[in-house]
Amino acid sequence: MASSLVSAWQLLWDFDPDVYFVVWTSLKISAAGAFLAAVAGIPAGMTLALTRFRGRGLVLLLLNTALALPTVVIGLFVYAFISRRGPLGHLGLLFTPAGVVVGELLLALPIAVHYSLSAIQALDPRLFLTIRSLGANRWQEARKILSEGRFGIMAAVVASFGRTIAEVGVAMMLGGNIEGFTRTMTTAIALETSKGEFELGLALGIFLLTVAFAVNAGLYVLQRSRG
Amino acid sequence: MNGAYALRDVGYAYGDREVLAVDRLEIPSGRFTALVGPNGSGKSTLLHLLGFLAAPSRGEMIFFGEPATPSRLTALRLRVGLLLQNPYLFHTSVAENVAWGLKVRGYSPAERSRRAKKALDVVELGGYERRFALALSGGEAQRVALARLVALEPEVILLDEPTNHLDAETRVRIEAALQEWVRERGTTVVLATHDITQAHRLGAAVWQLDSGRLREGEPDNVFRGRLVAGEPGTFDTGKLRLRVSPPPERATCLRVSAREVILSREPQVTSALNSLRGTVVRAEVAGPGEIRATIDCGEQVVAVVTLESWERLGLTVGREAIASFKATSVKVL
Repeated sequence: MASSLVSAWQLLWDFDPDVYFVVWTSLKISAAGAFLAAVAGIPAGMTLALTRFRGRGLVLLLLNTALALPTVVIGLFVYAFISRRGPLGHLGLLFTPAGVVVGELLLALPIAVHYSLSAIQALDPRLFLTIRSLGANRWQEARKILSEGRFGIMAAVVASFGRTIAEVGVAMMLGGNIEGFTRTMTTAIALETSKGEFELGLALGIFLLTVAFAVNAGLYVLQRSRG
Repeated sequence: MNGAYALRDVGYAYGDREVLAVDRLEIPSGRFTALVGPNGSGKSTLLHLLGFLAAPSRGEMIFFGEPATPSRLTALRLRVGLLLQNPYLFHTSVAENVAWGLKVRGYSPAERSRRAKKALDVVELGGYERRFALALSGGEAQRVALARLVALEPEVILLDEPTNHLDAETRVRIEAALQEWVRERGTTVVLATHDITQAHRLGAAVWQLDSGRLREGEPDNVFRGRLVAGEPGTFDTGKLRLRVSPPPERATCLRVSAREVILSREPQVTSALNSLRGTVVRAEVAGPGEIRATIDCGEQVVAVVTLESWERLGLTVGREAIASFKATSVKVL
């Protein structure tokens, strides 16, 4: 175990191109999925928080259910759509980074919506009255609400990214773990470990933890600076 | 009348429950108007209607001669500024807080900065621009919120208990600054307060709200006059003399709550030092089971009594009555 750890550090320290390509692919795909989830999920969460409509309870129930969806179920669902015989098969997304991004987007979307919803609901109700009383239109109102709830919103983005970078089911099913193309840190760890190649798996695991730590530490520092 | 607002048969309901009913309200432009009433009387709801933050459930609102229809509320909001009872400050600097309403209105950064600085000077917070808003005390936060309104230079300023968190000295100075502001710009100010003395200090026209019902005039008895030299605790209105306890050093205006006035048919031997004989000139329903009676004792004295007492005394308009109240019930304004 100790020798594996030393070898893992060596791989990272030597900037092994194979390792860093996997890292880069993983970061790229996860960031894209989390970004798209945030773009769609933050306005959706905000709308859910600020409006009351018939069926809202059902939407919230479905949202909570989606939070608990196993990654392989999402992988399977998207696979059915983008496989060659699926309704979106002609787009050629299966076993491509774009295909994985679609899966990651669906995986992170409920998290982005849920965190944004909670962040907006936690805001002081006087904020909304104040914004309107100062004459803001709908667009200015939305921007100010986002600004006041920025730490909660950032947490939504961070949690979405945390979910996409750490998952393995979607990346495996939709990416196919193709070396130099769709292999991510988590799929590489799974593969290398199954082959008994602990060094690379450990090296990627260390990197994965470092990324997760850095992102959360960044959020923590931001929240502390003006909490 | 040169009016800022005219409300006719306006009501506001939460679901089926109507919480505010205003048969008639006219607010003149360029001066102070006070809405006086206890907590929960509907003052804040009425201010929200006047600030176009909500549309009335029924009735008609006219704003500077134009009907305030639901489709125009957003546009009308730009002409009015509302200070909430417990103001919310954005999680930014003081300067950004004060300038935000100007940004919404499309002012240039330079103009925003100039106006924000000027507004902060009005509320005596010059130099606070760079401070983080959440680090301010309650009084400072209230003044920043007031500056946020003043910076907009709106046609109408609506203030919900504006000096709640301020100490007496600061309150007087802020009130003076507001009066100066109104005088210079002809701004209309509508003030919701539970403190009738504040309404008087600002020279406001008074409307009283009770359980969502609006009535013009003062809720209490207000007497103007002077203290009698050589007779501590005696106040002369020119038409009658009142005893005040403890004896004040200075007083030109006194107030007695209508609910502290006791009515009787004959003089009573009581501890009340003020006993005024007069004639009932008006009697109206004040609320459920209550009568508001006006007794002409030289000055008009208003008393609120229960319907049961009223009937037991056999009082009617035109009958003689004695209005009594303790010297300690007399407050100096």
